[in-house]
Formats: sequence, C-alpha cells, structure tokens
Amino acid sequence: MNYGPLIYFGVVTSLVASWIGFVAVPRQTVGKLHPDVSTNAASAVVSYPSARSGEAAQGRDVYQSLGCSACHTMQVRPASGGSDIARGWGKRRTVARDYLQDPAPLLGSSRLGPDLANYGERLGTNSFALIRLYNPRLVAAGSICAPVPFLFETRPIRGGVPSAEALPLKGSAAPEAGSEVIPSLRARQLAAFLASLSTSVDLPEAPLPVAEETASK
Amino acid sequence: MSGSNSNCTGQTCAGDASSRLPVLYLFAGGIAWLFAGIALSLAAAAKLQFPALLTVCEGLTYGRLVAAAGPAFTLGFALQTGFGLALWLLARTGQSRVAVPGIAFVVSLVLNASLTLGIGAILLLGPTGIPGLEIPRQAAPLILAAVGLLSLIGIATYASAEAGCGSPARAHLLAALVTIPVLYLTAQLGLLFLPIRGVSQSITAGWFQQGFLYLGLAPIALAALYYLVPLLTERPARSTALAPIAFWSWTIFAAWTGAVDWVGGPIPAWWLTVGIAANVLLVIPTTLFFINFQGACLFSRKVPVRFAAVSTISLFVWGGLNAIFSPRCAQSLVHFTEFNVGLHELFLFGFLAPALFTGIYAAVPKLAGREFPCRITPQVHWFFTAAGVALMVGSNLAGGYLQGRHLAVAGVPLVAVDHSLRPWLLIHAAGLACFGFAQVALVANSAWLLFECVKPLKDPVISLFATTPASTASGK
Repeated sequence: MNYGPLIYFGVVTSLVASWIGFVAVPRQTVGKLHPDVSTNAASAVVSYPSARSGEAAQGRDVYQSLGCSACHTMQVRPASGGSDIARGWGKRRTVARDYLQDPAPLLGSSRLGPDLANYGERLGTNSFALIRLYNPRLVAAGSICAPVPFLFETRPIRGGVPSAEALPLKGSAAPEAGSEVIPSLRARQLAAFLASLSTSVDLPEAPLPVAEETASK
Repeated sequence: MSGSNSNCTGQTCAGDASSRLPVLYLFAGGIAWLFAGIALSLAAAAKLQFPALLTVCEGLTYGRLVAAAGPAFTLGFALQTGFGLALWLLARTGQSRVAVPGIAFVVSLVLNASLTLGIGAILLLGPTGIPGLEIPRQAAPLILAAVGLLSLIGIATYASAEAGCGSPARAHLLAALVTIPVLYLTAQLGLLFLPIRGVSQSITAGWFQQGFLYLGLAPIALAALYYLVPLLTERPARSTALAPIAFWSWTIFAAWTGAVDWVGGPIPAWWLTVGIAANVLLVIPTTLFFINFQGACLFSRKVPVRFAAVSTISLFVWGGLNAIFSPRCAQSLVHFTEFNVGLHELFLFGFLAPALFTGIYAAVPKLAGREFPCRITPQVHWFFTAAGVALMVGSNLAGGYLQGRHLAVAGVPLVAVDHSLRPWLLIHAAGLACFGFAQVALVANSAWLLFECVKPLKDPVISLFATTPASTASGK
C-alpha cells in the first residue's frame, strides 16, 4: 500500500497546526500589543516603551552585528525563576510589551556575560561604557569578555590638547605618552544603546515591587 | 509503514549510478562545512580562554564566530549531507533513479556557493541576531531556492518509486523533504522579510529552530537508521508495529517544542506550557526508536553499525535529559547555561552526525563501486568521533549544570561563575578538536578511495558523469 499521501497530509497538518500556534497566533496577539500610556508625577502623558534615539537605535545595530547576544541576554526572569532580580539585573521580570520598539528582540540564550535588559540603569557615566568596551578587564578583573579595539582609534594628541572625546585611561591601560584613545562613531552609538537599556517601568502585567507594596497598603 | 525494506540491498543498483555525482558532491560539501564549523567553533573556544586573542579584526568577534559556526553545522554539514543521503536512500529503497541528477548537482553547487556567501556575510557584516536564522537576508533567498529545489527533486524521486512504498525509511524521508522547505520559507518570510515587532519574532524563531532540527534533519537520520541497521546487521528492527507510533508521535510532538527556549522569558505562559509538554512527551518516540534499534546496533564490529549505536544511544539519552530538564523548575537552573548547549550538541553531534556517518559508510562504497581502501581509518574515525562527542557533551552538561548552580546564588559574582566554567570549556574545546581529528580520518580514507577510483580511468572527469559504477567502467 502506498502511504505517501497519508504521510504527506499528516505531516502538513501537523506543521500547519504548529504554524498557527507559533506564527499566526503570536502575530495576532503579541504582535498587536500597544505601548502602555500613563501619566507621570508631572501629569505628563508618557508612553512606554518609547522609540530609541537615533544614536541608540544605530547602536543596537552595532550590538547585533558584533554578535554580543552570543554571551548576553536581555530578559529578566521572575524572582521565582532565577536569581536575576536578586543580582540586580532588573526590578521586575520583563514582559512582551518591553520589546515593542525592537525591530528584532535580541533576547539571547547564554549568560557568559551579565543580562543587559537594564544595563543603562547601572551603567553610570557614558565614559564607563566606552572604557568597558575598550577593555572589559579594566572595569571587571578576570572578565572573559573580549575587547573591541577596532571601535577605537589610538592617535597622537593633536595640538598638544587632548580631545574631549578621549577615554580617561590611567596607569598601565593608558596609551603611550602623547597619544590618546578616541572612540569611533560606532563605539559611541553602541554606548548610547547600552545606556538606553531600561525596563524599570510600572506595567499592569508586570508591576514594579514598590508599586506592588503601595497597592497592598 | 510495514517496516520492510526493498530488495535493492547489498549490490550496486541503478539508483546508485543515477545518484552518484550529486550525492558524492553533497557528501564532500557536507564534510567540508563540518570542518569549517569545527574551525570556527575552535576559534570561538580559544577566545573564551584568551579574550584578547584575535581582537584586531571585527570579523572574528566571539559572537560572529559562534553565529557562523551554527549554519556551518546545521545547513552546511547536516542538511547537505542529509540531502545526499536522502537522495541515495530514496533511489535505493524505491528501486528507482534520482530525478534529474544533473540538476541536483547544479543545485548543490548553488547551495554551497550561497552558503559560502551567507556564512561569509556573517563574518564580514554580522549575523541577523535571530537564533537559527543567522545568515543575512541578502544571501538567505538563494539558500532557500537551493533547499527547495533539492527537496522537490527528492519528492519527485520518492514519487517515481517502483517498490518499497511502505517502508519506514521512506516515510521519514518524505516527512523531512516536505518539512524542510516549508519551515525555511515560513521562517524567512516571517522573520527576515515581513517581520512583526516584538517577541512574536522570538516565538517564531524558536518554532523554526527546533522544527528544522527535529522535523527536518532528524527524520533523515532516522530514515538512514531504519534502512541501514537491519541491512548491515542482517537483523530486522525489533518491532515494526512501533515504527508508525514512533513516527507520528515524533512528528506531532516535535512541532510544538519551540517555545521551551524562552522559559521564564517575556513570552505568554501558555506557549511555554505547550513547549514544555511537547518536550517531555518526546521521550515516547525517542524510547521507541531506541527499543527498535538498540538490539541490532549494540556489540557489532562493523563501523557503520557502531556509528548507528552511538546515534541511537545519544537520541535516547537526549530524550530523557530533555524531558527531565524542560519543565520550569529544572529549566530555571540550567537556562542560559552551557547545559542547554550540551543538549543541543548531544542531538547534533551525538545523534545526527553519527547517523549521517552510518549513511556515508554505507553509501560511498556503493556509489564508488568499491570498498573503502583502508580498514583502520574507519575505526579511528568512529573512536575519535565517539570520544569527541563524549567530551564535548559531558563537559557542557557537567559544566553547565554547575554554572547554573552558581548563577542561582546571587552572591556569586559572574566573573567567579565564568572562572569556574573555564576548565569545562577547555575540555569542550579538546572534545571538539578530537571530533575534528576524527573527520580527518574519514577524509583521508575518502580521498584514497577517490584516487583508487580514478586511477585506472583515462578521463576521471567523464567517469564521474558516467551512469555505471567506476569499477564497471574500468572493467572490474
């Protein structure tokens, strides 16, 4: 007996059913989520998530092209599902709405490096991010993160006055006398993207812990 | 699915002659990409040990190396070798000829050219960031066209069968050839060309990634085992009644496994629950496959059967571990760790690759018209492949589990977690090198065989296009 047609239609039916579940339904549900609109303390209407600035949006492309998501995730699990919140990687779990403005969410699947969903909140100064990119071991001894020197230019100091953009490197990390390390445009874009990473916004489906406490009182 | 194999068994048949050129080329291309993937992975492993290594060139960042190694293994090696094996098996089991073998050969050339373009683009321009679909959109349609055409040629070969219609091997091959182009087309449209914002992309990417492995590549490997194990061991599969149950349960459950990658992530809960349930239920078909094959595979002295034994055991272990570690409580421990990488490698290098090697060792002598000249190198190939897989998978599972234990304690700094993981990563790299060395033995033996084939012929190029085996052509 020729089972070909039976196998063909069985396999196609199974595929179509899973396609409906994993492609069609997400497009109709998660894909049609809207930003959360609320008013802040100053009674101004704010929308979350908002679109990234031009420099940060371009920095996202740099992040993607360098393959940073091979080591870094951008998703915070709930307190019951891991130590993410206890490690200070976020104040609440991340939800689908957090990624509405991302053309392609870079969620990641490996944590050789820390989660970056809220990296902008713990970054400090912009130059810290740039030094971190120039040589991760300068800010985290023993880090296995590779430096990206090709995003920086080491050049002689022009006119005897260091550039305002030069990295404040000291000690053994400093370039040789008379030289300075200048971040390229892509380095600055990447730093702007990292600085923009934040999800600490109160959402109906993922309230911040403080809001939860207030609500319970 | 009666479980019977066709009569075209031991000897070279017409199907072999028609499939010789495209199949041998696909095998050669597959092994070349396996080497490329191993080289890229070794470079990435070296960067984890020495972060300052190869930092001058943007094309050699850890992320790009890992992203390029993925399609080199799955598309370059597993899919390409799988297509070659599928064409050979379809012609053989159906006692027919490969449909349009000349076009199949040309399409294989296009597939390799587009893969070179795509993987080169990952290194030079960067990956898409979509798991399983790392190749940039400029090169992806060409790969899709080649994959679609090869699948159509396979289906046409299936349709032209004169025998063997009910064999489980042919059922698995048809399922794979239907699934691969459909999944790849849907994923490219939904993720590269008509993407929708937000995490719905991640859900679709998970569906594609798991589906491609489980529903596209795995059935080809299973088909090879269903056809070759009884043939090589001269013992039938233990229970032909189990074959359709295993086939349908695998086909249905594997289609729903995708979401488990995002356990704890920003995905609505019901998808995760469905994904977890499907992953747990996969233990049913993997157990049935093991029952059907293990009696025939174990304790054989034949190298292809030993590869089949590694493959079936790996699938069984993978099924068990996958069922145990898919639920939320277990995933919360091993999620984002090397443990999940180890599970993936157990499937890819432990199950798929050895099954494909079984097929290569069975097919190449039939296609070339003579046996492999060296009897020692296959033993070396098997031993170092098995040792490499054990080292790679074992180190990732053990190291990843410990990594998860450390990550679960908020007080342990991430640098300390990575520091404790590095010895395991080093063992993994040693396993990968071992696996790579094993493939050198296969290539050396194959090159020797090729040399033996073309040596007596005046025009070796014409001989490749001939429709009769080399031994016949040379008068042997």
